[in-house]
Amino acid sequence: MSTESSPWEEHFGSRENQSVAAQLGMWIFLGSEVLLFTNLFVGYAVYRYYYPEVFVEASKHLKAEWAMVQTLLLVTSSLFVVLAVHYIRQGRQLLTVLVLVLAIGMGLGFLGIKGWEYWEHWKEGALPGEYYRLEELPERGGSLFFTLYFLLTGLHAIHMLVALGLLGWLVWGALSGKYTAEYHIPVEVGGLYWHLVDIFWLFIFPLLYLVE
Amino acid sequence: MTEEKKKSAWGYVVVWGVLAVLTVATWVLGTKIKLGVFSLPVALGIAVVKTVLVAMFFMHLVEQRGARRVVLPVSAVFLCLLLGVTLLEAMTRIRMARPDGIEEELEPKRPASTRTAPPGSGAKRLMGN
Repeated sequence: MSTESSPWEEHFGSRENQSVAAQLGMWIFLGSEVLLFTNLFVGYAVYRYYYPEVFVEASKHLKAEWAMVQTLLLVTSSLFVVLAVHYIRQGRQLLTVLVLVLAIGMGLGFLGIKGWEYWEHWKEGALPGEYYRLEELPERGGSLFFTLYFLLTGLHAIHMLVALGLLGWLVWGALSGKYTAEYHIPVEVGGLYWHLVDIFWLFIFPLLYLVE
Repeated sequence: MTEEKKKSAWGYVVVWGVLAVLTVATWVLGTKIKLGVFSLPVALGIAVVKTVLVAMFFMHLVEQRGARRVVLPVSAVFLCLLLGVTLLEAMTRIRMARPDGIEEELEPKRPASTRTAPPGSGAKRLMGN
């Protein structure tokens, strides 16, 4: 039954097996992503333990209310992505495209706010490592906070860019009618990736912006 | 696919509503109401609750079976192990071995005029630390 145009592969034995294998593969990849971010979170925990006061002061240079807006954007985009999975399971391709485009718009809004924040840090001199020029904060701890800030948010932003590309590719696939109620494995696993990027931000938000 | 047709999307909207409320609550607790020593545990607790909601419903972990269901919790266990053991090591170091304790401890307790600079203190160190 496997022709060149069919997305189903015979060596999986059954369609159910192919779907399960794709999802398991994605989950294992997500597990490796968790361990990648874990290293940065551990570094953050250790240096927050050593420089608690400096971290509180440094955190006041970040824009907590905009970070809340960013969190709301990501959480809402996650809703749209799960709706895309919901609709494509029912075979409603146009609705799937619509909610995916909405999710992409929110992701772009998130990155726009992030870019503006980076620009503000640049002007202020709140930069990582040896580029740190902030006078009000001690260099010890202060430069470490901003190093961790740029590493965590930067790695997250790179993941966002990849995830946005993935969603764009899903929009293209849904528009060209590749996904149906029977075959929608890419929408399911692509959605999983978007949600994981969302989850990372759920921790970055309180850890960096709401230090007290 | 017949049972999928009947399934409503409202469940997802409810989960989204809870996530949005928790997000605003995190912000209010973190900026307006000062919780002191409880702020970090409370903020992380809310983040964990939100993660469980996203993983269970948005990532469809509730409907997964077998290995697909275990991968994420297992990676969370490894996260806790790495975090816990590293923090335990950092918290039980003697002061001199801590990055904020080096200079103070290496300074000899004698008048400044007779002091020599501790080895390596003149060199510019990476990350300004």
